[in-house]
Amino acid sequence: MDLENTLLVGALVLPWLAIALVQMGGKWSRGHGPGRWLWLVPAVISAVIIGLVAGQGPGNAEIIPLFTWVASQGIGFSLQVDGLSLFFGLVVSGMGTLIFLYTAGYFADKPEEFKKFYTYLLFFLAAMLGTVFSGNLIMLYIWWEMTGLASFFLIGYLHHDKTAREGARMALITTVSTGMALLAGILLVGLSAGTFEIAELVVLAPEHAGSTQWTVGFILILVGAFGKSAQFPFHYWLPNAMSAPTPVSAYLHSATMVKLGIFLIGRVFPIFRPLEAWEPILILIGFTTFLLGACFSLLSNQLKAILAYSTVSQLGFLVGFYGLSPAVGTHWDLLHIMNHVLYKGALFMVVGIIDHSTGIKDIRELGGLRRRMPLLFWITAISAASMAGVIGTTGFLSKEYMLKEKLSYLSDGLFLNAFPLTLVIIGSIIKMAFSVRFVFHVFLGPESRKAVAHFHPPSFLIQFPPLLLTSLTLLLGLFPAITTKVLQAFHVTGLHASGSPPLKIWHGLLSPAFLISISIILAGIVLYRLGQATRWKWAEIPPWARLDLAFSHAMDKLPAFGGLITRLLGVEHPRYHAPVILSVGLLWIGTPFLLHSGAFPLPPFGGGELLIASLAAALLASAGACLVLVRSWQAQVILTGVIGFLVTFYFVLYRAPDLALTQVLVEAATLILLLVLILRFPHLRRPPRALPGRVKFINGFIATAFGLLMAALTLVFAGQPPATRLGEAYLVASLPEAKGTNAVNTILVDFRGFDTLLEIGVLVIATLGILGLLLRRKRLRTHA
Amino acid sequence: MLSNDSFILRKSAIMIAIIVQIFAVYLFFRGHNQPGGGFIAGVASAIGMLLLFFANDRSIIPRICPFDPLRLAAWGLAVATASGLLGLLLSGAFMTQYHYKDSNFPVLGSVYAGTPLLFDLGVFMVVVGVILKIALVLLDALQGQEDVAETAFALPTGSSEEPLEGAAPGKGERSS
Repeated sequence: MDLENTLLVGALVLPWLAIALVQMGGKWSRGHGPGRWLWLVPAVISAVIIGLVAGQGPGNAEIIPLFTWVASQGIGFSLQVDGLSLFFGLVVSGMGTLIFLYTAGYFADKPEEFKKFYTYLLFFLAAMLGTVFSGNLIMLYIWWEMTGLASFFLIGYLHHDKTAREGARMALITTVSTGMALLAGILLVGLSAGTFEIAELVVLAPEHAGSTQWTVGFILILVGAFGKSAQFPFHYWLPNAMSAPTPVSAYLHSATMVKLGIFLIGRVFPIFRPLEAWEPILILIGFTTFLLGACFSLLSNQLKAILAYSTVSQLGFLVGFYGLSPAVGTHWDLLHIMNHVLYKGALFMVVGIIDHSTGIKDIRELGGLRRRMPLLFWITAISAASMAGVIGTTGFLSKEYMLKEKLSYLSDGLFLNAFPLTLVIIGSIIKMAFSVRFVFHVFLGPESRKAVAHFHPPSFLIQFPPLLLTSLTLLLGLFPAITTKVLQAFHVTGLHASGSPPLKIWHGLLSPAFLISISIILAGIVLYRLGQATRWKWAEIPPWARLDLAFSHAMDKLPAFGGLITRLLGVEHPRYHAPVILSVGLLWIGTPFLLHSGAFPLPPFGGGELLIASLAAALLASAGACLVLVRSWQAQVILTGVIGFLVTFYFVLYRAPDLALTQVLVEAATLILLLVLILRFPHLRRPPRALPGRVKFINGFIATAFGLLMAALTLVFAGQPPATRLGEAYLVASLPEAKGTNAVNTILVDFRGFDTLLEIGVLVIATLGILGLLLRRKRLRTHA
Repeated sequence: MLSNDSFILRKSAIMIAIIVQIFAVYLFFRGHNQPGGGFIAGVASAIGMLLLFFANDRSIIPRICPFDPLRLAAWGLAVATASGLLGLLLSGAFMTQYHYKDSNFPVLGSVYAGTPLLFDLGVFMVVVGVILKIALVLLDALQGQEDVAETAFALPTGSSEEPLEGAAPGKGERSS
């Protein structure tokens, strides 16, 4: 490994080291300590990534195999270093640096939060870097889910707040269940191609382009990407994730984590673009989400909700953009992503600062803050202008090139091209309107008395990160030559078409894209005027469109549904469900057995132990008969124990001392636990309500028949010579390989040790479940 | 604690429990070559302790088992996993087992040690912890439970669950 790769690996390990340092304590992990130095971690990572970008030419891609994990399945950890991963790595670490600084200002008056909060942030940083640099789909999935876990911790960070808990749960359930689809898709594609390495899949893609497996796998992967990137119909979780502290919203839920879906689509672009399903799915879902998000954003009043829905909208735009891209490659997709990171990150930080300074989150209660926070006003104005696509910002470049691209496809005359163009124009008008509202209603107009009641001016530290982002928005928007240069350094072969035309601000007064842009801005202002005229009375998302409400409702109803199923199945007493289970078993096993009964020879009877074995059998049978006949519960419990101990006799007879010992001890333990359980629930002791005689007779018949069937099956299968005895291999290998003469134990701890490990894990989990049932009241009391 | 106090049972239970514990240790160590092993030893040990708890007053529980048995189970899981991780570190494959055997060890004669033994120790701890925890919780709940368990098997009807033993608040489960 050369120096560059070593540096990159070091950069990936750095967040973990930082977590260890923070957790181990010391004076820099207490109080204000972490806020002072931890921003250096993402800063160093960004420096390494910038160095790598500068060092290698555009279009360069490198695969660094680190180590193999499961060699037989082709699962290993390899790094894919190309423009896409470096770009996203830079977004994650660069934005991370600013967020880490911003957090120091945000929690300045609560230094006790630093340690925990920064640990989660570092965990997220590490997981994100792992995801974007992963060259193996399985490893990508694992990192991907780790980012979801970090997001869960961070959304639920203020866990005393019910909305935070519910938002975290909603985000986790949505992203993890769609993540399951992603895993299924990865497995389908990877297993049919025989490799999970992305670079190898790109090479193999042309052969598999027509196969159904790839199409299905592709759609499943898209479901995962849509869930993470909050596309319709999974868009509902993102606005609910806004109950997180603002640094989290700015970092995870606008700039980085929700972009993972976009990243994944870009990553699999060279693999799946030839598929026919690519265009319709991405275009329909993407632009529907775009319009939906824009509308909801206009209808929202909470500052964070406005930004969250506009994030949803922008993510839809990006998804749709990839859908439109021709198979030879896209142009300027990274421009659209970068543009959103710059303005949305800044706007979220602004919202956090406003909340911090005034304690108000609702746009209707704010106003006239310009005089008190002039710097913040300009930051917001420029970022919102970029959101609306006003000339001079990166947002303008992004929208202009999007329109240009769409117009050039429009000449193909496809329906799928007219659809996005219409939606983009409508959506952009709405965006313009709520951007204007965002700036005017917070900073201009009469000063809101409520907002200034508890006002304290923000520190420069907390305003610095959005200021930097806004300067970049302006710089890159005004000097497109620089932007062109920067973005071309991240050229990815396969994803990007070669020879992208350089970005320009001015395309001539009569160019169609420019004319449309101007009309959008004017129409947006008209829409804003309309809103003003009606005092935004209609600004509320209709309840029927709130999928998150439906989700929460479903979550609340889940226990009742479980109860209903339980009642319907009659699980509360075995005498209701046991006959059903037994008769189904009787039908399914008994019928084929009877039909082919001639095919099974009976085992030979004989041997010296026959007499003693049949004696034990007679004892067992009489114990069973007694169990049915006795009425007292104590006698019944003792008799079940007797049956268990009598079975031990067979183990002794056929020389299985391990089994015999286990059986005796387990029987004893079971008996004790059973007795205590019955003492604990006294109503079990009372004889149950008597069944009518007819039902009793039928139950007795089913039980007898099932017992006879099992006996016959045992007899018949004991007579079949097994093809190979699995046990013999273990018996032979026991001493030389596991250094033990007791094969039963060497199987348990060595040959099948992994099974045992998981089994004891299950044992502990089951115990926790039992405790949950037995200690339910206690939990309710402490939390109520 | 279950029925009328019996002096003979109380005192003999202590003797028996000690013998059972010794037997459990014996079972544990012979496991690699003869019938025995972590699971069986764990069950035996747990039964021995349960016998003590049954025969004596509940005040003996904190003396025999001063910590939450669930902790024992959790640590057992950790020990078993750690024994597997050792193999991962040393040879690159999870749960590669290592053995050490000396047939001329002073005093004890033949001595055996290895990662399987550590793994078995984990199994032992999990089994003891799980059995003790469940039994203790049930035993705790026995205090004054005669009249209140009617609703114990009532099905949950929604997220706003009523307390299980709502009929007699303040009784029962005081500690676990």
